[in-house]
Amino acid sequence: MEATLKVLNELERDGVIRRYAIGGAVGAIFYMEPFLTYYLDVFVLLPQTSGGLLTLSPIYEALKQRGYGEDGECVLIEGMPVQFLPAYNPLLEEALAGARETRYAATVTRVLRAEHLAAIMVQTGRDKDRQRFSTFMREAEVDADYLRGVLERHQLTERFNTWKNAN
Amino acid sequence: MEERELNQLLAAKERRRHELARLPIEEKIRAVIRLQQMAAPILKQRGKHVRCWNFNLSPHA
Repeated sequence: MEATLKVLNELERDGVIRRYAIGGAVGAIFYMEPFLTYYLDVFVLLPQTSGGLLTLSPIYEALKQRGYGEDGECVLIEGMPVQFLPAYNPLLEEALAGARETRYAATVTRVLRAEHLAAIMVQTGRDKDRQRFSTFMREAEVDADYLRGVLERHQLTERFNTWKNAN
Repeated sequence: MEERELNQLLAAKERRRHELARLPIEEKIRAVIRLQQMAAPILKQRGKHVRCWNFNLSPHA
């Protein structure tokens, strides 16, 4: 995984992506017990385009030039399927901006804050998110005040309380 | 099984899960790969082909 993260850092350094952070299942695993997953979800802030369009094509192109091919909806980077997700709404933009720097082995990387990961699970709202949310809230250290603020800003308080009270 | 024994068992499982949550991320990723390797043949029997992460499992992987 370290080699994968080095490639992501290179893409950021070269301006192909403005900023990235690990989210999704692997992001959650930073804070809770490990569980089965097959992808590395990476949220990205893309460089501004003249038409204002969000496109991942420059990332795929840059990775192709580095010898990393697409594998379905992912790119296989150093043995790991990576799914790039643009920060397409205010919660994701806020989460990416607030992502915390951490290390994987000797390599610096970024992971979304626990509070944003919880809020994203609530916002996405799939059955899978609800199941993961339950374990995540029991095991992760979450700043309750910070989380409250995130939920209020993104109108997620009601659903969060419904999920929380159901557990 | 008596209720007390069951409660002790469940509490021990919960403690274990919290211990796992506190592991370094590198250890957790190794655990994920082991889970993938364990699940792969079972999923294959159900017609699902999955790709296990394929990278160096050394301490700096």
